[in-house]
Amino acid sequence: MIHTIAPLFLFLFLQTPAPAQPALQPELLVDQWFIRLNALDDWYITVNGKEETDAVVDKFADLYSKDAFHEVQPNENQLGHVIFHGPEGIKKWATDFAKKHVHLAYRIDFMTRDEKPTQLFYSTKPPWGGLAAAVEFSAVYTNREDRKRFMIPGSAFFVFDQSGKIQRVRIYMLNDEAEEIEQ
Amino acid sequence: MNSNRALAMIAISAVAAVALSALGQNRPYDQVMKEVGPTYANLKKNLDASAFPAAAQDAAKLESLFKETENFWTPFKTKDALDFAKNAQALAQTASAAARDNNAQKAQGAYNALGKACKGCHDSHREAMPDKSFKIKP
Repeated sequence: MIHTIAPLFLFLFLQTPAPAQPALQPELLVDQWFIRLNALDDWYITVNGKEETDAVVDKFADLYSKDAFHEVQPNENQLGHVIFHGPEGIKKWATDFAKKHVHLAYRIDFMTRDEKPTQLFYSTKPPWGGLAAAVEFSAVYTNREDRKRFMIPGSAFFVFDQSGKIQRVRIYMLNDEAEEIEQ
Repeated sequence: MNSNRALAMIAISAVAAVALSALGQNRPYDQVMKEVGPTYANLKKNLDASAFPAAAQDAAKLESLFKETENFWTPFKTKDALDFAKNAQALAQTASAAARDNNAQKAQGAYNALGKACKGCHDSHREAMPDKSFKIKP
């Protein structure tokens, strides 16, 4: 009897599908990126003048896969499209960003139609798996040095792998539409 | 005698501040801040008691402490902190000069303004921790 049933159990066991990975949710993934981006101002200077940014930078960089790309607009140090690659590159960007800004308040924009406000997360599934998502946002921040506060509209395009890690993010900031906020 | 001693202390404070600046060596910031509080309280006490030489000495010490404060913030180029520190030095200098001139009203005015400069910088750059210690915000 056992010789008859055992192969059947083995067959059924092999046919059991592996537990499915939870579906990637663009809202949660993108939201987490904004939370950790805004936390890049949550660090202190030691009494000896050391800027302790490592903890917040590491937490931000944890969202990225090992071969991720982080792509931003030109800045005073470089002309053209600036690409940061891999953990070290992304930590470099995050450290510079953390040391340059305070009172970060980047937020995903709301759109209202028929008196119904919502934040729109545009998402699609790439053919290689994972998830792609995009949002419009408002970058609100204060320059650490001159303490001037600005609001700049922007957009961010994310590609996540199957585990939800960022493979690529491209950030566009409309600097021509920057507005200084009176304090 | 008291005047001479006050002048000597002012000179020593000034030399110490210049020496620290020249050497580029800053004391730990908490040491500086922990000296500001008692010195500021002494200044008030001496002004109230019309002990002007001692008040001038306190104000001169505050000036050198705020120079150290400025030195701490200089590498970070943090405008508001630097402005607060420079303003505090100027006010301490005013208080010191007014005390040397026995001008209680002017010294008291500078003392009050100094308190506002302290508060402004603390509001922007000091954060209280649950254990009642403080951390320095960028």
